[in-house]
Amino acid sequence: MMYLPRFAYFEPETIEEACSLLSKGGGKARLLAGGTDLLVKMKRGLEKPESLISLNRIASLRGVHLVGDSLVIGALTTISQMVDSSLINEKAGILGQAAGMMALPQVRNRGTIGGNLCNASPAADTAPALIGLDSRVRMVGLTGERTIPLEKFFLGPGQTVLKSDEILTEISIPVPARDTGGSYQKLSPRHNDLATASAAAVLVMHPDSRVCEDARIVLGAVAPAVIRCYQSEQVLKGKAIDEEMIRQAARAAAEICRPVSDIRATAGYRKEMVLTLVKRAIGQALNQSRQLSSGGKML
Amino acid sequence: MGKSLPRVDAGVKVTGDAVFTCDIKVPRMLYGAILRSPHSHARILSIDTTKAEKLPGVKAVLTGQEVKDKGELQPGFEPVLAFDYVRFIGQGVAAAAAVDPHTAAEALKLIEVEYEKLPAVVDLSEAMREGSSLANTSAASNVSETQIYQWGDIEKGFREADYIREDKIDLQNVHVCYLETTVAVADYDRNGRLTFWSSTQIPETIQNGLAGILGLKPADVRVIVPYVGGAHSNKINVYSFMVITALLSQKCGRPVKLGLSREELLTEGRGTTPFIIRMKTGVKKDGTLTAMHCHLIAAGGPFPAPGVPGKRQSGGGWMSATYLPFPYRLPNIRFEGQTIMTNHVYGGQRGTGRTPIRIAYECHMNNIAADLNIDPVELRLCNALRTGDTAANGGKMHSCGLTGCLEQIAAKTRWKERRGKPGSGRGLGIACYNYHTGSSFNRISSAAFVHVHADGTATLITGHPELGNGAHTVLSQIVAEELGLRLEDVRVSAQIDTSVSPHDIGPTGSMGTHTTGNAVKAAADDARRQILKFAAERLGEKTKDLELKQGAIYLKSHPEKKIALFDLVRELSHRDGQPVLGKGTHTPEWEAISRETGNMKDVPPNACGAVVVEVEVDRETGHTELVKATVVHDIGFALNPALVEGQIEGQIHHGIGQALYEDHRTEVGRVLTSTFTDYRIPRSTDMPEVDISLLEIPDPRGPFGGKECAEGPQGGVAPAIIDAIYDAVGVRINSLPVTPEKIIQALKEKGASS
Repeated sequence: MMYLPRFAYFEPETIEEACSLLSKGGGKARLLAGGTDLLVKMKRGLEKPESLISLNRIASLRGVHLVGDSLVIGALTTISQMVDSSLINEKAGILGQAAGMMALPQVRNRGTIGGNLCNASPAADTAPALIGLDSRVRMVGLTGERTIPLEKFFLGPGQTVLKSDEILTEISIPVPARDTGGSYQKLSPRHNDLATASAAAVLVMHPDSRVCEDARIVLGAVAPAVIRCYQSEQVLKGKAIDEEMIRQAARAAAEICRPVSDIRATAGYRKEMVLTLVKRAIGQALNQSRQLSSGGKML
Repeated sequence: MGKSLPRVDAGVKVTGDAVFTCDIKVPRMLYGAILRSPHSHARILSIDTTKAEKLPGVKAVLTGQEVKDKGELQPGFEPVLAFDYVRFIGQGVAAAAAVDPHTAAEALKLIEVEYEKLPAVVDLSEAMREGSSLANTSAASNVSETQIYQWGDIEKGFREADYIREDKIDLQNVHVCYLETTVAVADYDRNGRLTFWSSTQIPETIQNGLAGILGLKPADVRVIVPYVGGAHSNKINVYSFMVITALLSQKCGRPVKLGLSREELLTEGRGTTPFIIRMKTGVKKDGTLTAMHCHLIAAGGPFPAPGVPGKRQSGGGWMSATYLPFPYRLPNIRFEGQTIMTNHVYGGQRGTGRTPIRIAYECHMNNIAADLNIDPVELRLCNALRTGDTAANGGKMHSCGLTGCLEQIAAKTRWKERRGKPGSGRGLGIACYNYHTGSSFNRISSAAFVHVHADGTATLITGHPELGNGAHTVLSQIVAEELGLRLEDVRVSAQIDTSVSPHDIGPTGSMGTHTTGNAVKAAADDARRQILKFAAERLGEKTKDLELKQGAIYLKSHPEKKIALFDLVRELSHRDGQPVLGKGTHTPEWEAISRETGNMKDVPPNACGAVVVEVEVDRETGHTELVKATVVHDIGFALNPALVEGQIEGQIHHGIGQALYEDHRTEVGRVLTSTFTDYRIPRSTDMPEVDISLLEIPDPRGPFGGKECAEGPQGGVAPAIIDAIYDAVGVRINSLPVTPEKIIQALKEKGASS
């Protein structure tokens, strides 16, 4: 039977208090959000923190809000809350879609957006959608705070740029232009399993000319971290996208990815699936944008 | 009888009041834990338990050296705890008992074991290769057993054939993953008597097995079995952890509870063995089967046990062989089975040895149908055994509804118009199955007592555990039917206790409703006779003129002349001190299959059926989406149709896991699937729409004509899925599980060759 090892447990009520506890822990303290990754790792002996600092009493870390032109999601917002959030589904549908494809209800009820990002799994379901939406993450430490693009947040499997006293507090998403289409495509053995491979496409389309003004293509589970495919984006940007361009963008993505072989799939299969997933993601994003734009005209 | 009555245990299970072994707590109870080998194969150089023994709260530490004289789990099998060599990952090397589970786990960390790693082999094909590492250094080769069975003349049969097809099917190691992981509580008292709470299918096996290993009289081992949270043929053995629990209790003089976590279960991976099954079959142009040569290779664990593979861990051998003559007319069969040792252990599964042969045979039949361009339903109708037929091994079929099942399923699924549009992405596949009610391998009886109380209700006293399959409901229905009581007036003795419960075969080999059911029927009949006899005296009538129904005894010709059951039994028991206790037994009517020849005379009540699965396959990703599973099952007579359907639904679930997802994977020194993250069983959301129909071709030997429904249907699920994938995208996958990657690979190969 696997049991949690002994550890000290803190429940700070402010972010400052949490930062100071984290700093005092000197690398042997870990933040606890939903615990769906951390507690499992601790039971299996893969993580042995001396203390856990629960963020669950810090109310300011929860909730989804519209602040100016940005959608701001507190780091402790659960995946279920995101799935159910009308703000997210209206303004950033791809994120609601991705959250809904992640894990099972029990895990979604516990797991948080901040935890999903800080766990830094290359297969994290929320990351490709968030990077596709050009999200930024705010990190607060003892000496101040900083905000960086999410894309720059991951260093490798389980590794982020967070400093030893820093806490990820919120994710902000610039509300996309009206004719933006997005789609998250994921392959897993069963529905909602850990991704074998995934791809997100977000396309900002000109409402009249249907030219692609901006494109972001992001891949999950096929590199040491979630990666953005600039080469694929270049193929699409500034053009009226056709089938050949989609195929070209997909091929570019398949070239960039660096998958591994593991229990879920071989590297070769993953590479091939990147082609299919990117193709499908772009196709669906285009469809969505078209629907939004025609829906807009009807009004 | 014959109604879908609600389960008698539904209430206590819904509220959580039902007690399982994992709920058992007794005063002064300690918690045990087992230190397990991290190596596939190694020599133990030393074990130092000093630090663990000094940890506060630790009451006993046990090593293999101390208990090696206790013997092996069965002759030639694994020792209780390893003392010289470890032969598989997860093999116990030491154990500790402590005041709480945490301390027991801590104690294990303080035990120092020095190993010398040895070459190991976990892959079946690799183990068979010339010059492969030996799974057990005391054996000369990894081949632990070869078995041959033969019926008819295959040379003659092949000469008569117009066409010969050969196939090789690879089956993986799957675990049944019952909800309640294995657990035991042992209380070894100072008079040398052992009370043992166990989550098991067969209390008597545990009683006799523990007594044998521990050197006790069976009467000094009292096995108590509360509700069991699923078993699926994997809780029929005495496992090493059970003996360890008893020995820890003996050593500390206190009760000890020891349960395996899901990780421990999945690390050991005592599921079904991997198989490599080759079938070569001769067929005439019209589809008539003429001969089959079957070669089966099964993994059998790292211990060179003598004896019969089918009886031990391999699940290969004769259980597989003796299912080859069914359910098709095939007069000439040769079976060669080999059991190969690897550094991995195995256990039972629904239809041990028989489900694998069914999967292979049905895949093979579908391949033959495709080659001959015969509709797979037609091929089966042409060859199906029918009532009155004699199978190749001499088995007389007293009832067989296979052709009826095939005709009905073809009509229900509109098979003829919807099958056979390869390349459409959507496909329909078929397979059949066949299973003998009550094991044909042994001839074991059951007994039962029915106690009629002074308040006019009755208690069934049985040694038959409730695994979650609804056995106690069906047995209660039988008592109610025979005594003219309402179902709610029948109770089942709460838990099985070998010190009071009558002998029982246990819910295994699909014989619960048959063997125990018939015994219960006999016991209720006996009680009824006692009641009628006394009523006859009281009423001054003849027994034959009376009937017992709706809580009273009536004179048939003048129903106004009656006496309430309540009054009668109260008078009997209170005034005369005379309990109404019916006794009944049942022994299967048929002879067991011959181990030497595999021959039989009478086929036990034969259940069979057909499965049609509809799938959608994504050509670009290889993902299979199940749309619908249709089953038509010949149940003989459904005592409780809802429970029959529940059994079949469970097998569809197991079959889907085996077909598409589950694969216990091990490398030398590493188990890759020790959690449910990577050992993927289907979830409720992975179940397709299910449509089950019951055909009732009764067998006079079954209680009320009933036949089995607990093991057969699973065998048809995986081959039907494989066939449906073929119908959808035109490729056949002959190794399980059928992963998306295998489909993509096969599509590529097909593209390259066409």
